[in-house]
Amino acid sequence: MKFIGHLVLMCAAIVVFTRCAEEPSELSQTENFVRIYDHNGFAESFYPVDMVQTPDKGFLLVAARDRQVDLPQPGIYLLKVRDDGSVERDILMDQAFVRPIPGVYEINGKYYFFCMNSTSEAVLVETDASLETFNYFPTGLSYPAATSYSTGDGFLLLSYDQVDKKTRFSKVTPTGGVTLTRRFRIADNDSMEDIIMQHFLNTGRQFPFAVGRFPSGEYYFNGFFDYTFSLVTTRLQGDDDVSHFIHGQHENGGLSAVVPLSGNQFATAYFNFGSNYFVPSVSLGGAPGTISNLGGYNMRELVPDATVGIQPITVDNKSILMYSSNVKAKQIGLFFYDQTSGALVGTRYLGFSNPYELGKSIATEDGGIAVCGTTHIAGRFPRICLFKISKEELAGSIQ
Amino acid sequence: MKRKILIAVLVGLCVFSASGQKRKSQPAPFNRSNDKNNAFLHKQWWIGLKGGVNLSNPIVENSFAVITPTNYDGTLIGKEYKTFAPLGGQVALECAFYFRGFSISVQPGYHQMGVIYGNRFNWSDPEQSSMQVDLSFKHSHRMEYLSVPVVLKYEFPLNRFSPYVQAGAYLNTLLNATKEVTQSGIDESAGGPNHFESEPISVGATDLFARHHYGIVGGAGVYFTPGNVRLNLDIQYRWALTLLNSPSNRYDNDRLVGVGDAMDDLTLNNLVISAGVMFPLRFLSNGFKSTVNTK
Repeated sequence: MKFIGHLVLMCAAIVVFTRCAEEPSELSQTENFVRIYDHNGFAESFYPVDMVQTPDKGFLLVAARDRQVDLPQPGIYLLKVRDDGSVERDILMDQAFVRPIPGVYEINGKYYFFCMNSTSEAVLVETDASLETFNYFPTGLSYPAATSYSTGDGFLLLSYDQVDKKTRFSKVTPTGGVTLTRRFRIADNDSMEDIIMQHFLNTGRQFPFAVGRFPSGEYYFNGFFDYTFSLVTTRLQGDDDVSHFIHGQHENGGLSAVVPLSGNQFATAYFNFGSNYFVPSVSLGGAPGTISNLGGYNMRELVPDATVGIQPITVDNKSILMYSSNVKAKQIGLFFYDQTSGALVGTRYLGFSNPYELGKSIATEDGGIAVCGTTHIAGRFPRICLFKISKEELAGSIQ
Repeated sequence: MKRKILIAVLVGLCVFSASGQKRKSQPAPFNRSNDKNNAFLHKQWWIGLKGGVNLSNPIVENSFAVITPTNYDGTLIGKEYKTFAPLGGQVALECAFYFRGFSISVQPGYHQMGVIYGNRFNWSDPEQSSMQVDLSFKHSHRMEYLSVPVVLKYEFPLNRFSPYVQAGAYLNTLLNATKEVTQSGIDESAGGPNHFESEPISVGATDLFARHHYGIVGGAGVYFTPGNVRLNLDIQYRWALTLLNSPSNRYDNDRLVGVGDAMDDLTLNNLVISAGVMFPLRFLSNGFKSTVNTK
């Protein structure tokens, strides 16, 4: 009996010792990580404009790369990382291609995004997940501002027609063919020209241009129309075919982001003379209006005219709207709203010590999120940062 | 898995050794009233206090980094750990049962130790030599544990001095941890060397560390017995078998990852030097003279 007692005691001691320690976890390396991608060049700056998750659960990031001494327009830097954030491959594209715009899309295993060439023509770039092959499709359209993709329409491209001084809405095929173009008046004179060109030349305010199609079937763009930065819905029946619009305040106000929810409900954010407002749920139908009628929460902690991203996500079976933006504390702020009630249910701030700025936030296949942006290492060197947050950690940020 | 088997065997041996001491329930020969020479030292319970210093030797199992180079070798910014540093401290209660040269000793106590590492970065412009910035990080961690070593000692009695060797296992339970990060550097681009140093960032870092870690202990020491009390100088080397850090919480501290730091998977070996005093629990009378068992 004594022997059995000793044996039990020994087993208990072994169990206590072996169960209480931590083992290296493979999962923790892919579900949660933070990376800052450093380049040891003194003059280089990197600003990611978009990213997409690849089938291998890694990420493809499209970034603007500025070397100060090169062309005034930023070049293009592509970064492919593995599922743990380690670098798989990076490419600095030919200097003939500059100024990538937000929007990178996967179509049949190929990845597409728009940029400009040296003549300010919009070029559709095709590559693969390993950045091995490249094809370039000039579109003949100038000054690309925003894009989106759907199977039925192909690429929707918002651009600026500097000759006619108009906003241009086009449909573009994956080989760069333009199948439809509609123009929308901006002004009867050149009063908006400088402001718009400063955006494209990176010498002035950057506007949150957007383009897409609502579930109702109507197309929309967020851009300049009728002297004002406006959200415009259209059926594209002809030039200036506007079915509805929401005016901003000339160049000083407008929508920062818009995401359709259900029916006529939308999640939006807008800027107005430096202030920022989040509107988790609003009806955008009815009579033409202005951003002043949208209401919303005045986000005093955001930087003036902040970049805003809105991402519908699901956390613990709850439908959540994740607003991401830049806060005055030089961090990337994540604000979680209950999609049903519109109530704030959590916040999270990414970054510390060095300034952090939002690039893009996306939902990931594993139920978590990824946020890329720019951080200034040593307060000096703008470099790409990537935060991967697991669904469990995300749930911890939400009440 | 090998580690678990090893620790299982060691723990098992310790438990068997400890429990094996109870088998002889009948009075030992040295408990007889006329056996004064053996009455005190052949079978005895001891209790005492010990304290001292310790030095940490971190071993990197897997390396992790937030800052990931894209155009240079990652080893250039690798972490450099200080070995056998920093100086930590510990105090412990020791309870030991002695029998015929062997003693099984349990030493629960407070154990403070640390880890220090640093890394360096450089940015330069090959076309303009003055365009250069050097940046250094120093990361200092301080951890506090409830430490419970269990060791088996064997003594070699030499008059009043009794050298011994010891082996066993330990379990550390985290009580608290803090981390301090300092940045400093030289910026040559402003027309001359501009030395800068940021305010240290101090954060509670308990979540970065494993709640428990364990390992094996080996060492040696010596008892000096001026009367019935024993003075003790003890040296242990503790080989950690499990991780010091918590992999699942590696990126949880937004402030630390914000400055570009992620902890490696580490085990932390520890050189522990202690001095103490031990008192016998049985047969002790006034003047530290042993009494006779009258049974």
